[in-house]
Amino acid sequence: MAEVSLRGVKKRFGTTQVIHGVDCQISDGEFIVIVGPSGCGKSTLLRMIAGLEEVTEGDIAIAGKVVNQVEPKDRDIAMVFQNYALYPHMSVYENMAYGLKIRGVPKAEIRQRVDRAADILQIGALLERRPRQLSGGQRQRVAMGRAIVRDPAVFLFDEPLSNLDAKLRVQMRVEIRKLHQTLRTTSIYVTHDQVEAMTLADRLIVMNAGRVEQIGTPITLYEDPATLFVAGFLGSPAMNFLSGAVAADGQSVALPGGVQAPLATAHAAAAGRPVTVGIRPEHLDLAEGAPPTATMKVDLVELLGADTIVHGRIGDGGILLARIDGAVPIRTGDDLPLVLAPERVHLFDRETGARI
Amino acid sequence: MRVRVGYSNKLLPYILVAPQIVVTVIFFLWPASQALYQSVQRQDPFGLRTRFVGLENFQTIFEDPGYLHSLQVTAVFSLSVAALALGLALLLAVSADRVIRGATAYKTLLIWPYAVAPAVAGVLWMFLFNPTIGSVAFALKAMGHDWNHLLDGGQAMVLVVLAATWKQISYNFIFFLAGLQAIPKSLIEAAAIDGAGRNRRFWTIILPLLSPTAFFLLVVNIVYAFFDTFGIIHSVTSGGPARATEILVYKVYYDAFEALDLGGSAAQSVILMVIVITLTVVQFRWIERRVHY
Repeated sequence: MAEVSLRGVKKRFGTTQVIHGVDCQISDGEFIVIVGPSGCGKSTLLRMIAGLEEVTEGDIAIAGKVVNQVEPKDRDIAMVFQNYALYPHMSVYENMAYGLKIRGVPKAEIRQRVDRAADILQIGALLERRPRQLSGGQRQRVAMGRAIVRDPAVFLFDEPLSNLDAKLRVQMRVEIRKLHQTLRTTSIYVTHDQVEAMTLADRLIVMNAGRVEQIGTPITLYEDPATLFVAGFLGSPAMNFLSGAVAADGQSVALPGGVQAPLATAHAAAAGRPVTVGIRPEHLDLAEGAPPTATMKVDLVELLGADTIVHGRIGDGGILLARIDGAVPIRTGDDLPLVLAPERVHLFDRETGARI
Repeated sequence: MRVRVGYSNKLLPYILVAPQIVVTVIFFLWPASQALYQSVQRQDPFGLRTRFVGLENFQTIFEDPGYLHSLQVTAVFSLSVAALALGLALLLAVSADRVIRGATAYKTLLIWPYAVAPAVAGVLWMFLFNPTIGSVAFALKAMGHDWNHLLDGGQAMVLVVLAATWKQISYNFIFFLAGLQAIPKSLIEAAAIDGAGRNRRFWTIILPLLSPTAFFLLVVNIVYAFFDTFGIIHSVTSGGPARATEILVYKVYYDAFEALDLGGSAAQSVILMVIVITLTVVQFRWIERRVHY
């Protein structure tokens, strides 16, 4: 077990800079998820921690020791790959024992450690099989087993669930989380799936175009996104963005269709400025008798049973999505009165995307 | 559900396969049957009289010390060529796989020897090693090695093995390189993280994954060394000195066209045919099914 620290880590491939300086302290036993759209540099960052890519600039330290020049095998890490990377010519047992054998662990101890890992992952019955005789989910378990037996200081996961079907992904997600609760090994997990990120992470690192947008607990990032990107990336359905302008007194914001939405705190400094207003679909509620903040023209209704997703408009260009609990009888063409909780209204700078 | 695709015209399918059939009959079945027929005949050197002798030709062959010697020469020659050509090609392919800059040029250069005809390759090596005018022979002599493959059977064998190997490396190289590039990078990375150094990765991960390719190439190389090297042997040593490089296929030629023993030569061809059929069966039945991941 160990803490990992990244200090001003940069990566260039030739003249193309793909990572523009990442700083992060990961404490011992933490489960960190790096999330971002494809091409944001998250996998490259993980591969640099693993030692599979060289660090162009900055330092990566594992357990207080800078490892920039240390070979992957000497970093005391284990990695789970997206395509599992199981050795096809070895049995499951041999796959899991390979790393231990190389390190000269006695045979009896290898047997014991592999059996224990197989037990945790419930793959004891598969030990004599070859990888090609396994299903996707079983292969994924073996890949994790290979990581566990080594008892490394840090686990690295590179989109390990991307190749599984949706149902299995949810199941494995829960198991990875449970596994971490049992082993408490520092884990760094890369994914592009924001649900996976939210459910697994102690802390999230949201990346975009080679830069860290925000680091924090999932709930912090959900409730207080630092940038427009983070706000739009986390949450499903995604946050509504409307163009608006802060009123002269800074107490409310003007939305399309002449709507005036009150703000929780006065934004005197931003008074009169054009802003992007963000409201999550789940924070739009039916007025139900209370004085409505806005009235939405309903375009489309999706009944999901547990909740109802309403697509609609306020004024021109003010496209909104509202997520309302339960199955509510709303029809296309209705005028739906909605209330906006002032503390749920986020304002972002038009130019920089930073939260105001 | 299987959809059966057929021709409405009954004749058309036969017309379509006819060219292939004609080629097979003229260039394979006819000569092969001639060899079978000849192998049970005996002719006088002028081809005036022919008589049926049954399996007598085969009996003569297996009692002939010259044939058994040729069998031994062939074994040494083909095993050396296969081992050298496979080993060197694998070494080159592994190196080429690591090259990043100029990789295309490097690969192209390595593939060139395959385009050289066997006889031309033979002449090339013969000139290089010619005891009187060859530059390599000159260099060897300067270093104190007395090189004369025209007199020394061992040296002659080394020379034809070198020439035959040189030509086959390209072919093996292409297959090995393709095989290497088909191994997922993440496997190598996983092994690196598991603690395997470069050498151990090669022996425990890369080589086992290349073994289907290697077995395929082994059979192809043995067939090559048995048959396609005739041009090299003919142009470099003509089977000499003192039959030291007389491989089976060269003896077939020599006995038929120089010694004019058509029956005996045909019987040898039949034996070669049996060998190549066996190798093919091994290739298809055994290797392609068993060595597979």
